[in-house]
Amino acid sequence: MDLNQIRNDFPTLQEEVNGKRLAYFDSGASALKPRVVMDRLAQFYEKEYSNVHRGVHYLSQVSTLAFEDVRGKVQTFLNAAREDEIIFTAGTTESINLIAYSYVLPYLGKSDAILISEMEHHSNIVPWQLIAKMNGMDIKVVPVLDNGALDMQAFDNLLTPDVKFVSITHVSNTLGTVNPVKEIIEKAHANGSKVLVDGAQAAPHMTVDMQELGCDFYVFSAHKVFGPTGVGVLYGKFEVLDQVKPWQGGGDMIETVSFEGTTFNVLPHRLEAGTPNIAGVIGFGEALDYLAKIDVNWRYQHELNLLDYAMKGLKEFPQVRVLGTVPGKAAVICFVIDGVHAHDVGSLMDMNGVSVRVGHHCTEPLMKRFKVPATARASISFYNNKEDIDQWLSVFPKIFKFFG
Amino acid sequence: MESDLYQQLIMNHYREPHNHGKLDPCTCHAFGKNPLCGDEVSVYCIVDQNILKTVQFEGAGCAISQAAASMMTEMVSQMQVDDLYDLYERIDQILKGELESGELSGELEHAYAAIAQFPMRTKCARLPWKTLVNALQGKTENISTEND
Ligand SMILES: Cc1ncc(COP(=O)(O)O)c(C=O)c1O
Repeated sequence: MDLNQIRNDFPTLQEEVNGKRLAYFDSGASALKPRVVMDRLAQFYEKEYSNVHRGVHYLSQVSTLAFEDVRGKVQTFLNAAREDEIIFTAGTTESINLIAYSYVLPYLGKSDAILISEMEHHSNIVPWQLIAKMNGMDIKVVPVLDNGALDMQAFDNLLTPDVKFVSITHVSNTLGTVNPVKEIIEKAHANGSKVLVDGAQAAPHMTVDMQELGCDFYVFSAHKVFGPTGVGVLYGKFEVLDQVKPWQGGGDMIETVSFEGTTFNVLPHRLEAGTPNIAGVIGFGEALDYLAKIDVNWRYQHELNLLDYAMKGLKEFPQVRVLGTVPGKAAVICFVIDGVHAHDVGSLMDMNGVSVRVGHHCTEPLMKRFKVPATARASISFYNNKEDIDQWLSVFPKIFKFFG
Repeated sequence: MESDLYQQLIMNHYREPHNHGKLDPCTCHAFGKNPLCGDEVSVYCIVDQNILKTVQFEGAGCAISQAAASMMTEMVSQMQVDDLYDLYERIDQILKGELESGELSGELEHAYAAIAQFPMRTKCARLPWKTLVNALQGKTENISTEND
């Protein structure tokens, strides 16, 4: 693969920031978009645009076909068994909330529990807390070890018969830990629990195969997979997804409506009320096509090589502490510098053209567990190169000088 | 660029803050916190006949929030409380970039103007000011500048 050619596909990478070459290390928060995605959006709005599912006229047909075509692309991307196992949502967050309110809330009660982990994103913590207030269920939390790995011994102990649902992240957005989700799913199923996997940080980087994993639900966001914002995916194993109660009521999700009672459409439409993010979904399909042309193993290996290169470079700077050091982790570097606040690190990086994220990364419980108020995070994507890492490393001596 | 945001003056105030430490007893005090970034500032005042006789602070957080607190104590000490409210508005204008450099007086105002170039960070500089004003007005609940 020609990395320079890949970099040319991403217009934002050609931009300067604060007068400097851009080194973008915030793909974990949101990925940059290849030009083909932007072009597809423009073309769709210019030549194919109409509402979907409801018309007989030409444009309505074109947009409906283009929209539904993406469902098949997502099915292929996830290796899902059926196309109607793919539900379009607004993002990971909405996908999790949908399952919380329309599956876990109606089926679980006071004597039940769900199991999450200490490394979850707030979007995989707060929805459960909200519904626990309504149905009285218990929330159990699997702790994280010092190196950032999930404490699997604790998982085994916490997975008791009252645990009816497990919701766990595939890859930690903060630590980069890749969790043993296959083992977790198998153990949970043996326990009679259903499993949701938060794939927001896995889908952009590695093969995610629904039939191989066997999870009941898998969720991720298009904007982290080089697609537009405002689109997400909820995958559900058909038999389980079919048990999910209607989420929002409205157009498209019904079969017939009368004041005596309404009957509901079949999957996937039953869970997609109202006009969807049509253009966003179509742009997302273009992003998936683009990704499919770049071997996923090459992409992931390239990211890991950069991670390795970055970690070797960091060895020069003992003042820098990295959170999450478990072998086999994904290319995310969450770091703190003794005596320098993460926001100051972020601003100095930014002045040198380096975009890192600072704060708690929506994982406050994890910050508390590692006893840091905030950290800086460099997340690596396949369009990053060694020059980006060198640029990042070159800022550290400036930070030490400034705050030394 | 670096020297713009963290110009020497700001760094000096960060490294060696002025008027630092708890004031006990005091006539009023307040605690401000920006929960998303974790910056914290406590401001303690002794007000006598509507004059801010003594003001001190303590806190933890980024260089800008702590230096801004230290610089603030330099600017407001011995001020009439009513004048101080005017200054608060003025600092707010500076942080919004609404004043030209020719309209600024003194190196401390220039330091605040340097922070104005970084819109994401002006909330850090406003935190001690809002905390001070709230302390003087007896409002002490949930002071934050993250949603202002
Ligand atoms: C692990 C993880 N889960 C969930 C989310 C939420 O995704 P979104 O904001 O796109 O709904 C994120 C995004 O930051 C994430 O990293």
